[in-house]
Amino acid sequence: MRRRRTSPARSLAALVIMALFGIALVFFPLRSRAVAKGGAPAKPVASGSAKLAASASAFPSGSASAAEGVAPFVPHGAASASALPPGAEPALSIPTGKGLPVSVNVAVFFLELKAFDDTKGEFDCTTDVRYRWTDLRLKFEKREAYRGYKEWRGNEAEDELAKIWKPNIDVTNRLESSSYVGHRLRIFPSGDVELITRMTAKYKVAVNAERFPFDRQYLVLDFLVREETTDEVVLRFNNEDVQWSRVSKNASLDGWDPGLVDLDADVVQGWNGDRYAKLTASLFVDRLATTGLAPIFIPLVASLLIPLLAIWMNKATPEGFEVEAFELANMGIGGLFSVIALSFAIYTSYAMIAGGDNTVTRLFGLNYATLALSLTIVVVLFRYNIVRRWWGPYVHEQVFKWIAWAMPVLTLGTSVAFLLVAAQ
Amino acid sequence: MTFRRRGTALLVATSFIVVLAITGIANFLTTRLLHEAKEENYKLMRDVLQSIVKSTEDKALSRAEMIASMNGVRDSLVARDRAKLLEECERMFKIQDEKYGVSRGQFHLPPGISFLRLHNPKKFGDDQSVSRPMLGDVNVNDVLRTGLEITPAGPTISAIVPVDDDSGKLAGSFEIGLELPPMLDKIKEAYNIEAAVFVEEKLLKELATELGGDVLTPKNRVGRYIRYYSTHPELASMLVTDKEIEILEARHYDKTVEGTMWGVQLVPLYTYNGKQVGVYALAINQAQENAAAGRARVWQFLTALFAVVAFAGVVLVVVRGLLLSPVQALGERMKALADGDASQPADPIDTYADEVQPLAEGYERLRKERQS
Repeated sequence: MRRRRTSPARSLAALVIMALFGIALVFFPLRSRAVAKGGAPAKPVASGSAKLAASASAFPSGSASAAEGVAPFVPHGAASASALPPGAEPALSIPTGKGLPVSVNVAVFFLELKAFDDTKGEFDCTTDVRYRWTDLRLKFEKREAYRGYKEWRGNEAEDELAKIWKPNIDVTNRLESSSYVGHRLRIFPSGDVELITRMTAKYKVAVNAERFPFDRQYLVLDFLVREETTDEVVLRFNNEDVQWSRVSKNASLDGWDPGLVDLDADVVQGWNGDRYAKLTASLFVDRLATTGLAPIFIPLVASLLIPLLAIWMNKATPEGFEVEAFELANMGIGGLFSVIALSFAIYTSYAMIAGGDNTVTRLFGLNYATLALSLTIVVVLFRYNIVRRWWGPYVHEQVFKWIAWAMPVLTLGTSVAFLLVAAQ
Repeated sequence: MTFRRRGTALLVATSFIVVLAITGIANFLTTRLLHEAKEENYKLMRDVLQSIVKSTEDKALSRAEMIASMNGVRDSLVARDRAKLLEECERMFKIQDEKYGVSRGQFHLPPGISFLRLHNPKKFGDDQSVSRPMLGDVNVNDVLRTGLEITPAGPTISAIVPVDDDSGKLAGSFEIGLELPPMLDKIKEAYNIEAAVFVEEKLLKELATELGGDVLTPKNRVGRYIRYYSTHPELASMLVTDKEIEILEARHYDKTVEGTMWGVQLVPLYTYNGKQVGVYALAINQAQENAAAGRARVWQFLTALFAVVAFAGVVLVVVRGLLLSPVQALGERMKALADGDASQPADPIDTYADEVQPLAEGYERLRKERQS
């Protein structure tokens, strides 16, 4: 194979090109450093894209944008330059550009509902929380961001947040959160700041079981402004926040039916008349009533039959009753123990219904009342024949007949009423 | 007729009817109370709307009068000096826009030609006197006016004040326009009333030429209206549909959405010249009132059940136990005695009611005579 000879002219040209590259490589960073040291604005910097570099160089030298400092163009998914103009002091003080108090809009998106333990009053979920406020110190020219905003994600967002003022908002009912907290920060030309925080956490909520098993519970996030009073920071929401605040269509929760998200702004009293802004985002979830039917209501209604059976088993005769009182009393005592055991089992599994007034405690109350009534009847009517002794066999017979149907009717009626009241 | 059966049945039925009637009346009173509570809610919603519209009009008017009466502003308008007028007002309007959401400010020359739009200084010279009757009225009659108009930015509560020169001659007019969304947000924030405004689609397309594309979309279409703004769009779409939206006067109704009862008040939206161009919809959560009324009804029916059972018990025990059964038993024994059977003694006398005791004693005497 014939070896190709390299001409001196070609070698010289290659040397010149290499020398030019070398000079460019040496001087390019020095130039950048020199500009930075001199406090002059940084020109748009290419982020690995020739097209973007060409766009950046399209700014006329010495124009207003260049003089004020132009933020670099950022390809999709990459971070923007600092939120503040180069050389500017961090804007950590409260923004007073639009006056005080600063309105911080809050919106919550429930991305995933992991679990809701109504017995402990805790729920786990992943949420996106959006905070929006305006800091006119962060205003910039529209042409500085071709997407209409500057954006930072993750650690870069955290770095940027360290340079600007942000509201000190705490979620007061949060118990624990996962180690990862995602941030996305956007700043718009008008100075509007939008911070979205994604977090998986466990929250504490109050469970009101009064309407169990037709109850509606509220998965609540309580936002509270710390340190800054309502004279400085208030929490607000508007139509956009309401629209943004919802539960993901793919989110589901075993035994519960998720509904709408509601936002509510309020204040909390502090010392010496101070007030702190509070905002509550609550997602309501309706319990699927059928889940409580088999384990709770069927045994409860069945146990109601025991004292009734103690009445029905007997029969009035001119001399008194067919069945001995002690046998029926035994039945009643057996029923009492079964209701105690049932209440223990249910209250252990469903701790939230153990205390307070609700359908289950009412039905247990009805069970005990019916048992007490049935034992009273057994003693007074069957054992001592009080009615027969005082008013004769005819009244005795009629009283027994009346009790035999009135007790089941009233017991059943009361049970149904308890359920209907809960269903309202 | 067997009194034992029919007589007691009649007594029990009578007591049942009486209890039922009392329960019905109690139920009726509960319904009335609920109705009155709801009517109060509807009235509250109408009053709130009226008050906040008036307050918004006053805000627009006070701003417009204040600005129009400033010497620099007046002199520049009289001199037809657009650049100076903009210089006078630019900073003021920017602050008003940034801090207070005042989105529109415009100077006109008679009979309604746009002289300077503070929100869009580059656009001027168009005659609005025909499309905007309120503007025409101010520029013809030299009086200030407030009201709702469909402007290029959408439905706006505007206040237009005339600007006179030193001789008192009309030199032009100035208007401030406040948009409806902040007003509806205030209703929600202050009273927890959800609010929405629906505007005729045809008018929006014709007049609201600067409207954002996200408003005129099929998902916002409700009958011939477009849901222009709502404090809770998802809820509004379920509460107000094609069937309810067509109204000529204020009306209200209840609707259950996602298991919650809402009271919805619809109020026609009129422009300055009295033409209905849309509908305001306000909604308040009435779940608590309904639940309380429902619970009251359940307790009333349970009380009625207890009452009926108690009445039935009294009738059966007293009438049958004390009267009919002893009389029936004595009758059967008497019949047996007449047939020659004297073996069945009466029950102990003191177990009979006083009124029956002579009968039992008479029977016992006859039986003993027959035995002897």
